[in-house]
Amino acid sequence: MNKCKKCRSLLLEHYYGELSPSEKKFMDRHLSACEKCRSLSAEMDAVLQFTGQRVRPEPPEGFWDSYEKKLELRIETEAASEHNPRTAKEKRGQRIGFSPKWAYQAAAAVALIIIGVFIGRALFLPRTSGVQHASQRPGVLAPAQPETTLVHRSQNYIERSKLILLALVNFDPAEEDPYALDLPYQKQISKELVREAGFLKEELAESDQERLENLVTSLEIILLQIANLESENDLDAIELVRDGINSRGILMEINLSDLRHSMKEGKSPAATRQPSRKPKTI
Amino acid sequence: MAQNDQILIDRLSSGDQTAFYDLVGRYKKKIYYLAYDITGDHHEAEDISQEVFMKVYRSLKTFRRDAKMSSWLHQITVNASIDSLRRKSGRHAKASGELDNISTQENLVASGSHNLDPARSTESFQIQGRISQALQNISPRERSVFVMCHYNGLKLKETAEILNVTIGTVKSLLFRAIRKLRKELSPFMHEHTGDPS
Repeated sequence: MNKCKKCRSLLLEHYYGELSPSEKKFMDRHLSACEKCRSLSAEMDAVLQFTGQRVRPEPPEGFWDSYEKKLELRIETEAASEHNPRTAKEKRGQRIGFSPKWAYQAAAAVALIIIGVFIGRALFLPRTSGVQHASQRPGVLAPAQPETTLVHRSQNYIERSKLILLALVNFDPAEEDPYALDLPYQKQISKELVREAGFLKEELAESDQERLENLVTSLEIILLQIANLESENDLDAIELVRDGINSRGILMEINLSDLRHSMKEGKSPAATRQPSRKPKTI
Repeated sequence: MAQNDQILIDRLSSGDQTAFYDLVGRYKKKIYYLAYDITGDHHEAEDISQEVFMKVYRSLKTFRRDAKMSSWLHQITVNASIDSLRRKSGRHAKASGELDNISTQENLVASGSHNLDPARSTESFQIQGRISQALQNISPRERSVFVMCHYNGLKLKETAEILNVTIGTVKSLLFRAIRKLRKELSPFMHEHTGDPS
């Protein structure tokens, strides 16, 4: 039994002629004596002999002649791609499934996120200072220099409103072309100042600046009338607004407010801004 | 051959570029046919054999003088061929078998088998086809061991070294391959040899 086991373990070596002389002697002796092992060996030999008839097909003609050239070309291509980082990068991209289209889509998505963050911050972040509060409201005419206090902002508001009022007061419909007044522009600025007045009045009321609050309220009414003017040809309406400005003495009040502010700031009244008599535009 | 290999390895290690093409010239047929025997596909075998030499070229600078060139080349070839078979579907493997049959027919014609009488030629073609088909139906690992020992003249010990397994494992795989081939081919074997075994 042990001999059969040993014989079967050496059948392959026996067929391929890889036995040592002593093993070959053992196998020859055992196979001639053991019918079962001989049968097993013959069975295996038959398969190996039959499959040994297989003939490998030769590769196409010229295959071996061009083999080294193909290999050389392959080596050169690889070397070129290593020396050309762009090509190598493209290859790497292709391997992991990158495509330019995918990259563009990713870049566009990132750009949209950044724009969204900026818009979100601009619109929804809480405003901590009054200066930001006033200047960041939509449509508000931004001051040339940001004011640091409520009084300064109020004074700035009054100055801008005065320019509108003076343009209208100085307009002489009998001598001047109504187009010279540039009413659409004056109306647009007036609308913005009306909007700003609402927020400014609240802050002035909270800080007990009654005089300034009243002046801003008066300006708001006049500016609202200007904003609601229908056209520059409506000379009667323009005349009504002018009458309202004069009757209320708003320009006088503005000058007084200017004077008070200058004195508080320690400037001479002459140093305050004196608008020209006939400003055509702001 | 082993001595020649050692000289070649020395030349490669010293950076001799011409040694690389000497190596290609020496091993290209062995590597190609081994890959062909495992994959059963000419184009696949060409690609695998070229990739094997590319690997050698890439590692020229780091090649160790004590490395066994022949074993290493065979090892890369077998691994690449088995990987290639795994990537492909069984359907493709069968298609390759069919290609093998067609190539075999062309080969038989080219090698003068057409001078035989038509009956012998048809019989020979059928035998080639059946063997190729049977080889495609055994596992890649069994097929690799079988073709290494049976068609590529590698000894059992060498095969074990190349595959990094014991001789016992090689023999076990070979026995399994032979058993499966016998099952596949026995009706055909009886028909053509008259051997009742």
